[in-house]
Amino acid sequence: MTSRTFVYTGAASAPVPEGSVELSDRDARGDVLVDALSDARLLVVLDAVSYPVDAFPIGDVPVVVRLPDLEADELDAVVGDALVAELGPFDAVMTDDDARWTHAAERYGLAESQRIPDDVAAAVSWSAPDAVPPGSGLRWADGDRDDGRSLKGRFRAMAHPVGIRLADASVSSAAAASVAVVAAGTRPWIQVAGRRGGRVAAYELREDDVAAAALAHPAVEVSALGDGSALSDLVEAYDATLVAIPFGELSVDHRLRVLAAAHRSVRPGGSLLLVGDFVDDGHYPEVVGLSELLAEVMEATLGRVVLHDVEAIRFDSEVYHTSAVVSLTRLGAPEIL
Amino acid sequence: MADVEHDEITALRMENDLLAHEARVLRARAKELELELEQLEFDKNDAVHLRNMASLDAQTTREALAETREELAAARDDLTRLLRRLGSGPLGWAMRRRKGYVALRDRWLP
Repeated sequence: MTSRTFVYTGAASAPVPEGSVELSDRDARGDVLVDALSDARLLVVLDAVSYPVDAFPIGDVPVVVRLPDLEADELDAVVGDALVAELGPFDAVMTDDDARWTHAAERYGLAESQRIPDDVAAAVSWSAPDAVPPGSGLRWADGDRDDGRSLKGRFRAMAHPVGIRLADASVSSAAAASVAVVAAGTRPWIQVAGRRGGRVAAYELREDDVAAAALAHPAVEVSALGDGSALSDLVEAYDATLVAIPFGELSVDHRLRVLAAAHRSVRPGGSLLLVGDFVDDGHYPEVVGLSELLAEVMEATLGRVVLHDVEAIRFDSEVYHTSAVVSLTRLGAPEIL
Repeated sequence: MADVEHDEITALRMENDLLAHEARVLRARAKELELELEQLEFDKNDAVHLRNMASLDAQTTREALAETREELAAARDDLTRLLRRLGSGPLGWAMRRRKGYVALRDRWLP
């Protein structure tokens, strides 16, 4: 079965670009939409107002939504909280209206890279940005490069446990956790952290990722991680630090420095989250096993952590549980009083 | 072929390592939940015990009150009987002249 691009036109039928399939509100019946979305590569929603999102949640299908011509409060009430709020890093919105975009981006945590012009041809050819390097937990399997659906599914599988841990990391239920995202081009994690409303800072491994992340998330301060020194001055500055670097790409010394700095950046009682691939199944040869990495964590932190949770994840179509979200709690009394 | 086997063994070994950690954490959590359940069960038993004690106290108090009421009623009956006999016997005229007797008679005899 070939993956296809669907364009939901709603009440007003409209010509759709060649190669894509039109869905109107007459097709918004269970059997038609379920069949369509089961093998969709991309769904473009031109009429967000009539799209039956409650009955047919968008799930793993990458979606481009045209923001309807509504005032900000109407937009939130009619489609925003139901549909736009569901969009993740592997979805996009179409609009030429700067004010509407700014409102949606701020309210729903959208990155600049998720905005495309209000043009159906551009929408059907849109694909999720290649923001995820191998080894950082969100992996491309063979043949997945053109399949945003697979990547979105992988991201959703990983984002769920990460979101729970970040919610738990807050020092009080009244305030969102402040989070440092230490990652290699993993802009989706910045979005996951930012959606909770707490303070977010990002540290990227590669220089070009610093620029890309800063462009995608203008409100987030993005710095180069270097050998970890960018973090080492920040003592107990965050409720949680999420590390999603491809551990196998770094030397042992580099890993130890980064882990030590990441540990120091978390307040005592806060969370150190490690997200990545921990099984060498032949796709990426430089993978560090979890026992080995945990031994390095103990060395880098002088044993001042306790393993709180490990959630192993096996993606659809893969044989092994390859990825995991590992949660550690920092122990000890505050260094700063 | 040997490489393939090696890769598979490596992958299986690493996956086993990952899942072993997950299982260990889950076992620890299950133990924590078990202890929490035990504590809850203990708290529940404690609460039941306290409730029973309170119930028992209330019962005891009710019984003591009823006993006291019966004793008072018997004492009142004895007193009224005694006052009648004192007032109606051969010395009744002398008793009726005593202020103390008259006060008691007015208070207890209808």
